[in-house]
Amino acid sequence: MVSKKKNGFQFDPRVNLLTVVLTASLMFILQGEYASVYLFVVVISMAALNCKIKIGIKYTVIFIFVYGLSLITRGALQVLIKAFVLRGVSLGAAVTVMIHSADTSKIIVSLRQMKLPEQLLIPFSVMLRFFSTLIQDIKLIRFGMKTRGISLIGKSPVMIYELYLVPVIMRMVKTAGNLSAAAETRGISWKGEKTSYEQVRFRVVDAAAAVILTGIYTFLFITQL
Amino acid sequence: MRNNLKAKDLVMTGVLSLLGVVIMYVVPMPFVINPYGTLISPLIQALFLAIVYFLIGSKVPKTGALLIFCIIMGIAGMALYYIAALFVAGLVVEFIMKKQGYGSKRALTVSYILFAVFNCFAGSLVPYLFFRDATYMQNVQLYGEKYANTVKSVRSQPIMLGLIIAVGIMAFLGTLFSKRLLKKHFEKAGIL
Amino acid sequence: MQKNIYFNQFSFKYEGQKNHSLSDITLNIQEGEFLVLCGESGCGKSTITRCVNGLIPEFYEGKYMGEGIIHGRNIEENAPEIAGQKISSIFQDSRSQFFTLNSTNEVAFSCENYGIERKDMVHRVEKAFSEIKIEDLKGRSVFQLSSGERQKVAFAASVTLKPEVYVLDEPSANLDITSIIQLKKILKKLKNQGSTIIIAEHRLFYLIDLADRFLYMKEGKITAQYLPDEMKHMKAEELYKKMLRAPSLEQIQYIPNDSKRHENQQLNFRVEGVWAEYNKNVPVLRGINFESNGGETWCLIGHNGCGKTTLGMTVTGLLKHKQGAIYINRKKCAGKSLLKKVFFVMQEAEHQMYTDSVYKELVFGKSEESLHNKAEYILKKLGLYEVKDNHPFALSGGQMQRVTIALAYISDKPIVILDEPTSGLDYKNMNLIADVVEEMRHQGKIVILISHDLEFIARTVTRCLQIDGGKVKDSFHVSTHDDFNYIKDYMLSALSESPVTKTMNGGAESDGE
Repeated sequence: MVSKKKNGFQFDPRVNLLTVVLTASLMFILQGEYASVYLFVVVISMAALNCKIKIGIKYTVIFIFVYGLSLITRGALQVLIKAFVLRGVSLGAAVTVMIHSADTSKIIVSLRQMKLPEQLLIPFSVMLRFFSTLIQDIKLIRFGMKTRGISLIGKSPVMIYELYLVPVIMRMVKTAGNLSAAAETRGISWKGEKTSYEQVRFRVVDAAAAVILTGIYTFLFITQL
Repeated sequence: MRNNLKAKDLVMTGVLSLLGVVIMYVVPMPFVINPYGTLISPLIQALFLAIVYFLIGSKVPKTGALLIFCIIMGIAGMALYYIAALFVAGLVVEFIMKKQGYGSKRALTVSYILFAVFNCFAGSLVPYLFFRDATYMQNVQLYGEKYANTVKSVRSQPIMLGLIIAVGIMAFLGTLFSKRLLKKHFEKAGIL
Repeated sequence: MQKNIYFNQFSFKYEGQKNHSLSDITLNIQEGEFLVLCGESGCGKSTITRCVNGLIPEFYEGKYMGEGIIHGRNIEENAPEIAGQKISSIFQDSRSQFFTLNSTNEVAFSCENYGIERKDMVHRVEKAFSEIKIEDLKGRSVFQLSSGERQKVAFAASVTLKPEVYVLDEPSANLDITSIIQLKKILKKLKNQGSTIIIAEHRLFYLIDLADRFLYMKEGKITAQYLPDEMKHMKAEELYKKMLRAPSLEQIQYIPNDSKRHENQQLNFRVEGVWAEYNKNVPVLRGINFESNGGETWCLIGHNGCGKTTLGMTVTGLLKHKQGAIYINRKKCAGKSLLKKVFFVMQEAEHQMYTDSVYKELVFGKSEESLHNKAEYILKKLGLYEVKDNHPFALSGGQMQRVTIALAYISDKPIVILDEPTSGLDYKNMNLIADVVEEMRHQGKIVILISHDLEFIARTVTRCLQIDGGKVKDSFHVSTHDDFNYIKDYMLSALSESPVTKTMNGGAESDGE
C-alpha cells in the first residue's frame, strides 16, 4: 500500500468498506436473472467515482468474459458460474477498489473517530501493520525449507501445515511481544483520550454516498422478494 | 493480576487473528475449485483454524480475547449476516469459557466446535440455500415444477445436517491436532 | 522531583526462571549521566534497562527484592506508560518496535497516545525530524527504510515528548558501521542537551568517547566499573577474558591465516555474468562475476542495498538468476542442483527451524545413525550440548544463531553462505561461530560471509568481494594487515552509504522486512 499519492477524488475508506460489506451481503441473497449485473453496475460506478479507472476496466473485461461463459455452459457448471463466480467478480472489484484507495494511516483514525473501542483498534492496527510482514515471513520460511532440503512432496497437508505453522507462529509471537513492549514504553496504555496526527473528515459527499448506496442495495433487496 | 485485556494481549490477539484470516482464505484455496467448493471450505477451515483459536485461548486466557477473534474473523467474511453470526458465536464462546474457566482445554474444544459450526452455517449454508433456490428455478424451467420440488426437498435437509456433522468432526480433529501441537511445540518452547 | 535513578540491593527474577537475573544491584544514576552497561549475553544489562523504563515488573513479570526508585517513583509505581512520559526507550530490533506503517505516523505515535493536541503534535513532529536531521525520511513506508534509517526514525519518535532519560537496549545490533556512526552523532547531541543516557551494549567502540562510565556485569551482578580511559587502554587479553567486543576499531587486528595450505582444488565455484532481482523488474545484480576454489572464506562487502543477500540467495538457488550462469565443478547448475550444493544460513534463525528439539533439528529428514556422531561433535563445539533436547525456539537469540551454524556444518554441502551470523552476539559466541567457519574452510568448503562484524571478519576471511551498483567492484585475497585495513576503511567510509538506500517492500537486504 502506497502511503502518499495523489489519487484524485476518493471516498472516505469507510464508504468503500460499506460497498464491500453490502456487496458481500447481497452476493448470495439477491435473486433474479440480472442480480449479478445490478451488483456489478453499482460496484463499477463506485470504482469510477473513486477514480479507479484501470481497475474498473479490468474488472469489466473479466465480468463480460465470465458472463459469456455463463451463457455457454450448461447444468451445474452454469449455475455455479451464474450464482457464484459472476457475483464474486463484483465482490472482487469492490475489494480491490477498497484496498487501493485506502490510505492505511487514515484507516485506523477513521475507525477511532467512529468511537470503535481500543480493544478492537489495537488488533486492527496490528493486523494492517503485520500483513506484509507475515507474507514475507512465509516466503522466507519456504526458502529456509528449500535450502535445508526439506521436501514437501509426499507429505500430508497436515504435516506441511505443521512445518510452516511452527516457525510462523514463533516469529509472530516473538514480534508481538517486542512490539507490545515498545508500544507500552510509548504510552499505548495511557488512560485518556488519544489524539490523531492524521486528519480524517467524513464529508457531505461521503455521507451522501453512504446513504445512496444503502438505499440502492436495500431497494435491490426488497424488490426481489 | 488484573484480568482485563492489556496492550500485549491485544497485540497478540491481533497478530494471531491475522494469521486466522490468512488461513481462512488461503488454505481452502486448492480445494475450492470445484462446484462444491463452498461446501468444502468450512470443513477445511474447521480443521486448520483450531490451532489459532487454541493459541489465543491459551496465550490470552481473559475475557474478550476470543470475542475479538470472532469479530475479526466475521469482518473478514465481509457479508453482514456473516459478521452478525460470528459476533453471536463470539458471545457464545465467551459464555462457555467463563463458565468452564479460561484456558481450560476442554472448554476450548467445545467452544471451538461451536465456532466452526457457526462459521459453516453462516459462511456456506446460507449461500448453499440460495444455490439450491437458483437450481430450483432452473429445474422448474427445464423439467417442470413437480420434479423441481422433489429435487429441492431431497437435497436440502440431509445435506445441511450432514455438513454440520462433518464440520463438527473436522473441528474435533482440528482440536486434537492443535492440542498435540501445543504440547509438542508451544508449551515446550515456553511460549505458553 | 528527584531526577536520579537509584537501586539499592535490588534483585530480580523473571517469572518461570530458576536463577536471578539481577542480584544485589546497588547503583545510582545521576541526572545527565551517560552510562554504559556491558557484559556477556545474559549478564543482566537488558534487565536493568527494563527496570528503568517500567517494563519490569509490569510487562516482564517476576519477583523483585530491594529498592528501586526511578524519578522519585517506586518501581512498583513505575508503569511503562507513566515512565514513558519522561523516559524514552530504543530497542535493538527496529522492525518490531515500529508500530505504524509510515515514518511520520511513527514519530507522532507517542504524542497520539498521550493525547497531545494536534497543533502541538504537528509542531513536535516537525521539530523531531529536523532535530535528528532526517527530514528526507518523512512520510516513508516502514518497508522502504533500511535498519539504520528505522533506528533514526525511532529516535525522532522518542524526542517528541522531550524526555529526560533515554534507555537503549543494544541499539546497534542490526546496524552496519556507517549507521552506527550516525547513531553516535545523535547520542552526542542528546548528551549535550543534558539528557541521561543508559545504554546496554556489546559493541563498545562507538561509545568510548561519549560514556561517563562503563559498568561491567556478570551473572546479574555489577562486578566492575571503568572510566573511558581505562576501557580504551584495556589490554586485549583482559577484554577477551571479559568477553567484551573491542572498544575501538583500531584495535581490531587481522589474524593471519594459512589459506594457501587449505586451498581445495577439487571444488570450483564460478559465477558468470549473473543478473538477479529480489522483487519483480527491479534488478539488483547486474552481471556478477566471481570464481573460487574450495578452502576459502569470502566476505561480501558493499553498502546497504547493493545486493549482498540477493547474491547469496541467487547462488543458493532460492532466487532465479535472469542472465548468466553458475557453475559448480564446471557443471552448469540452477535451481535444484544449486540447492543440493549450497546451504544458506538466513539472517533470522527462526525462519529455518521446524522441530521440537535441537538434536532432532540437526538430523531432520536424514538418517540418524549416520549423523549422530557428527551432530554430537558440532553441538559440543558450539556449546549447545546441554540444550540439545530443548525446543529450538526456547533458546536465546545467540543460541539459535549457533544452531543454524550447526545446521550448515552438518549439511555436508560444499558451499555455505552465512547472512549476518554474528549480529548481536557477544565476544564468546562470535568466536565459537568463527571457529566453526574456520573448520569448514579447513575441510575444503567455500564459505561466503555477509557481515559487518569487523572482529568476525578479522578472524575468518581469506578473500573479499566488493559489490557496488550490482556489479563486482573488486575481488582480492586477504592475507595481510593492509588487506584487512582496506576492508575496515571501506566499511567506515561515509561514502559506502548509497544515496538511494531503497529496499523495496520485502527487500531481501540485511535490513529488509
